[in-house]
Amino acid sequence: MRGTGLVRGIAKPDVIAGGSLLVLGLLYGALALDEGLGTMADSGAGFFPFVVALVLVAASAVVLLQSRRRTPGGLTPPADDEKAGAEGDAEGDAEGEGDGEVRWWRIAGVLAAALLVPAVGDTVGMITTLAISLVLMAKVMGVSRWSSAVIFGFSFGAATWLVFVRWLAVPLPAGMLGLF
Amino acid sequence: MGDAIDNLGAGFAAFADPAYVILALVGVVLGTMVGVLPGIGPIGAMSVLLGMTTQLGPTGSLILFAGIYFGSTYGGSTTSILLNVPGEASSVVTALDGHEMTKRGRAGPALTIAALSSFLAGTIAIFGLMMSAPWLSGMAVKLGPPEYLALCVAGLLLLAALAGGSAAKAIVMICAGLAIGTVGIDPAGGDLRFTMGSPTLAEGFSFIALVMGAFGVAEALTMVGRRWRPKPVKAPRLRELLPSRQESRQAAPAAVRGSVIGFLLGLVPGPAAVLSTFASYVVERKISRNPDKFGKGAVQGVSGPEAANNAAAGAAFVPLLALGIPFAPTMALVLAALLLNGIVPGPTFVEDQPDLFWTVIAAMYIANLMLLVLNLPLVGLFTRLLSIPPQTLMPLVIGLCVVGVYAENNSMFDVVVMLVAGLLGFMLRRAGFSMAPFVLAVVLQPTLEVSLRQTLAFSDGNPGYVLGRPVTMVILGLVVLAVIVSARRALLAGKATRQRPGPVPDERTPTPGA
Repeated sequence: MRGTGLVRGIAKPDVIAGGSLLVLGLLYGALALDEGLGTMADSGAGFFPFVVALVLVAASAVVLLQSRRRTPGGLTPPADDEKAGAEGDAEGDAEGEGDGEVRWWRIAGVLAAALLVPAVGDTVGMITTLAISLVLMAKVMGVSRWSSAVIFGFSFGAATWLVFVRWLAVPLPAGMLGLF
Repeated sequence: MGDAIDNLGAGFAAFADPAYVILALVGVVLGTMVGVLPGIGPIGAMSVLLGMTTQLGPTGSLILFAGIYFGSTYGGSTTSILLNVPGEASSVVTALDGHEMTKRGRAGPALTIAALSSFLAGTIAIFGLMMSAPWLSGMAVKLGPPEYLALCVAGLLLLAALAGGSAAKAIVMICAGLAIGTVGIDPAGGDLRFTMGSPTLAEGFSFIALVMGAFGVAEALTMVGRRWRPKPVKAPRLRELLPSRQESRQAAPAAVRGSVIGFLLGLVPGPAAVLSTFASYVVERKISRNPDKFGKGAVQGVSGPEAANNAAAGAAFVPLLALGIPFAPTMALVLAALLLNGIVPGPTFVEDQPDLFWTVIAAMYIANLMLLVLNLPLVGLFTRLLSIPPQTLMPLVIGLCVVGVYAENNSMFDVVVMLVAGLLGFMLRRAGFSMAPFVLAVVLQPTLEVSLRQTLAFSDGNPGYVLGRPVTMVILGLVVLAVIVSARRALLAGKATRQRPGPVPDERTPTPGA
């Protein structure tokens, strides 16, 4: 069960998510009360949010209860939004899809690289920043050679300029340096 | 009928513009690619492209999205049949018999039967859409706030009850989506709420940013974090594609039945495409003279479900265009694309925008034809996509998402919202929370809130106002029935799990998921 986050029969991700949403629901309900509920015939801005908050708190409480009742050793199956079998199983499947371990450092690295764009995109230039961001993402993802990553990143930058700036005429910031 | 044919002709005539032909082609190719590739589905692909829809215009956007939607169902069945890895949830059933046919050396005929059944179903669904959308629009004019409230509640609750997984978690995500949608301007009163004094939040959170984050970025992060090994694929050659006469005779009636089942189920709220495939499979097995052949390569087990899911895909456009209410998350994105272009679908849509409506009908037919012509000869090429490491593809997806979301409002705040939504979406999905109800709820929030408050205002606290409206009561009755059936099923499943003696937990042996 290594890496599953399972603690004494309680699925940890369920508890964290359910608990957080319950607290957020209570906070949201309090904010909704501030907006004013009005009356049934003349409902205020806070009426609908308050109803939503009530249902959210109740449903989150059910999620927490369900997670505590889970059979010892049971795992939380990840959501299967639209791709059947998109999420990893505890073991790799027969087709060699992969294991269930999450490489958090890769996720952190990719997100940090992506956050470069809102951080410095307006100053340096959107396309240049995006290209650098993709170079870094490619390296985090395991592209071994820097030359390959650079070609990959700057090709994407060039393609973005062609499609978005030239073809669709979307104004992307050129930055203080006047770069793309 | 004559008018419908004339209008359809005008719709086809719009394709004299080569830009629309190119968009249809791009849509079906992209759709097939996302159907084949693991990780990104049609919702992810549509969300990534949502930022471009204002540049494409309403017609171009609908053509592109229709192509992606139909293409993804074709692509999903390809991996189901060849690899026993369903590319889409709606292709799970196809794998049962499709992959068995592959094992018996009949991969080519299985793919051809799937493609032809899908084409037939698409044609039937488009015909159904042509006939039913104008009729439903005429009926919809008579609907009032209570009926729209009932339809929105039905759409959300049925998705929660029938989609599989925990209904409580689905309801939590629905509430999260509704809550996010309330930030900004109160749709009934016009006041600002929950903006914390920030002018940026006065317009609310960008729907594009939320959807791109919850789907595009979250799915990309899921693939980023996993180890990947290439799958060897042997695609059939062109000459191996033809089914035998007997296979064709067995497949055709099943495809027609599947089309009807899929179209009817596609009209109701909930995960219609997935449900229709199961329903078709069950029907085919029940009426078959050789039910024991199912699961071992029965042709009807491929043609029926494939027809059903394609017909459901076409039928899903009916409530969206005629009522303005999306009954599926993919349709929520189509609605978003229309709203971004200033088009509001609903009861007067067919009358106010006949050119757009009939051009989209024609586009769906052309997309189906393109898929039939392209997918079979190019099946080898599409399956080669499976050898592209997702570690190369996913940075591209994230990069496209960043540009796409910025292109909407020229706002770096939206980029940050998208990335945060992506991280939260990834973490919630790992905890078993689906993003599909969240997206549908965000889109439906304004309609739901306005309908609820208007219903309360008109009723003045008198429940007789709602009880006296038969359409509302029928819809709510169906929802209650579906919720009871779903709850009963969950209780029985839970009881069976508790009664069955489980294995003794062992540190070396991971136990299966609950």
